[in-house]
Amino acid sequence: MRDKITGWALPALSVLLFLAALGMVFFYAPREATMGDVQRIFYFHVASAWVGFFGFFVTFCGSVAYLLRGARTWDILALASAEVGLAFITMTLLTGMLWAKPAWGAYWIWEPRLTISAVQWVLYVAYSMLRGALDAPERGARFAAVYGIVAFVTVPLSWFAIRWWRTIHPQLLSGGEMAITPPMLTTLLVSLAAFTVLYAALLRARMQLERERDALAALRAAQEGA
Amino acid sequence: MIEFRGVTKAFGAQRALVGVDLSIGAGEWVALTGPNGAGKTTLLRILATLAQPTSGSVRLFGLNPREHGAQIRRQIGYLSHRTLLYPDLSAEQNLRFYARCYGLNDSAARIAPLLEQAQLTARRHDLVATYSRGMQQRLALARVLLHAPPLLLLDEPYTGLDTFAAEELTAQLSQLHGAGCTLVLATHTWEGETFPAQRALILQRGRLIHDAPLGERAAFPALYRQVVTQGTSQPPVNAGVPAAPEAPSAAPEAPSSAPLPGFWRQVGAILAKDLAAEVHTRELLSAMGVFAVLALLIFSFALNMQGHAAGAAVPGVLWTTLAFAGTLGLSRSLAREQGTGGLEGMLLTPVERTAIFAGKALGNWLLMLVVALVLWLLSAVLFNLVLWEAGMLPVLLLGTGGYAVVGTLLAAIAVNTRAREVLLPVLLLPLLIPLLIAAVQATGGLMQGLGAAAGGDWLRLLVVYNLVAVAVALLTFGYVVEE
Amino acid sequence: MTTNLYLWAAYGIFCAIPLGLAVSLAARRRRVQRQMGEEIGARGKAANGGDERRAPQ
Repeated sequence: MRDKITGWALPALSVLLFLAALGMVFFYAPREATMGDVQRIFYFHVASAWVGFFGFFVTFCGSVAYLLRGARTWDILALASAEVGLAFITMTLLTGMLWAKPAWGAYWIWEPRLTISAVQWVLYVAYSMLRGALDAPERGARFAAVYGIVAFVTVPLSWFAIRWWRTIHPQLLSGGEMAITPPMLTTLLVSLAAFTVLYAALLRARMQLERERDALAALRAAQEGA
Repeated sequence: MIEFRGVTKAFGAQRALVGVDLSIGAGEWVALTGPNGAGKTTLLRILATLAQPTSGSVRLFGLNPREHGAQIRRQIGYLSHRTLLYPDLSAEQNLRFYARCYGLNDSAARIAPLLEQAQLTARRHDLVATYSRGMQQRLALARVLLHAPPLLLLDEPYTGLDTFAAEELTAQLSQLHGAGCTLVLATHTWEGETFPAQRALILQRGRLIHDAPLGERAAFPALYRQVVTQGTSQPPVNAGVPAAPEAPSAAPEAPSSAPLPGFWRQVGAILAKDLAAEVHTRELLSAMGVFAVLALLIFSFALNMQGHAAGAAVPGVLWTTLAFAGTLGLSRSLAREQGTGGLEGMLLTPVERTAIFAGKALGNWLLMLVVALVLWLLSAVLFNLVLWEAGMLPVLLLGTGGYAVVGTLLAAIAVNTRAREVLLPVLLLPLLIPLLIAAVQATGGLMQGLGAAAGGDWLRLLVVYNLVAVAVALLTFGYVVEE
Repeated sequence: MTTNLYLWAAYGIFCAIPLGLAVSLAARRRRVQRQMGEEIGARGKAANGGDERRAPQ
């Protein structure tokens, strides 16, 4: 019974928060002076970028914990977080391009933050491909954990490399361009909260799926052994 | 000598061993039987310290394999399904390499009689790849006996041997047993194998269902059939250790008192082995070199690199070419280890895991450096550029070094996946982004004559990348190779 | 007005991707649960009809 309530609470809360944030983006946040309505992409775009990176961080933590402790739960956490994080980074990339076109006249510019999102996206995809190509369950989980660690560690290095490489270009997204008013900040924070809860709900669902798969595999193994 | 308490080994949901209790004393000869998939190989691999149990405790020679791996490994000889030999090396080179891994000082004196015994003295300089199955099997046994281990683990040693060879093997094993060796021999067909074991274990679906002195040999096949079909042993499983004839516990001419080889000597042995294999085959260097030259030519057509345009494009082209050529060499270099189980052979020796990594990474670094040198010279000629600035050497060393470190780690992962060579670039290239940006920028700065000052920041990034890569790789490589 | 098109497209993506992931997760879970049901059913018929969800034995 209690499990059922908590099982529904998280998805319901995430839907509510998502709708609230959506409402704030369109009806509460003021129209930005220089960029107009397109600037409204900003709220969810930044929120998904944040959560996407956070998902990667969780994968990193899960990977380290798995190597140290060896408990399957950590492996499941790393796997689920990477899959959910990939969805968020994909959103960041696509909407970033949709924002870049009207704002700067091109779908893609090699702006550092956009570029690092692309790098993260490629890393997530490589991680998923590795997950898909593994046979030995335990050993495969260790491979994925090592990759999760190495991949996360290269993100800050990539960030510095890309930023130095692009310093010649103007910092288009820096704070000076867009004056953030208090209502804008509130909207951004609510969006951030909504995306975090959404991430948690999806993560939980993905972890449950993996646990059920484990249970099925155990059942089948027992069947075979009996 | 061997103590198992409630040992269980699970592969995901599949359980290969379930609650095995077992103790084997010094000087015993134990036959391990059971149908296919009963867990015999898993049991032997745990004994050989190649695998760790999921639960339960294992003690070998009174030591915990997790803590005293190196000490235990030098007292164990494990004959696997695979030969664990390098086909690209000669018989003598193979044995000399393993002797160095075990830290044997008098390797030449050890190797000569073993080659004689394996009847390979005449062909000791030929590559193992040219040997027949029987010759490889004999050499594999010589590898197992190299360090005169007091405990021998043999996984189906009679498979593929003709009657004479089988008799010869039995004679050899009996002699070793007589000299005080403990033998654990796994077999799935009992008929026809006439080795004088004293005690028989039967495994079925991971459980030890029979443990008793062998007794009447002729009666065993019938007993075996009965036990396996019923799933339990009629007389209860032998609880205690059967009274084994107390053999002299001193191992035959045990050289284990010699100190373990130092870290850098281990690295040197692995590096020398890789270089020797490369000298024999020349496959890595030629493939990488030709690929690099081809890529350079194609880039020059595709990007229309002439005159001024060349200057801007060359650094990027060089490092891109190097990155792609590198994945070819890395895949092959690790596939060499995987093919006949060379990596497993190294893991059986007291060599440290980090030394294995360092040896492989160093070898790959050398290869990358040679290819880079060829590329740099070639592009200097083709595009009429002054490439040799004083600051170029650290950029080259750090660029290829970071690549080799991360690449070796990832190749060790990719070689164990289904997609193998295809997956390696997909996994590796995203991780190299900061390295490639820094290397290209530093090279470009140097080529434009901006001097070392312009490349300073990039050089620093390269140093940081290398340090981080080495630290992460050394910390995680053990998890990659462990089963 | 055309700029608003980008805005709508972006929020379309923001809604579609999480929804898509949620639906796909639900579908995959339902399939696993169905297979588990079949497995338990076969087991129940074969032996004592245990309904344990976790690894038995």
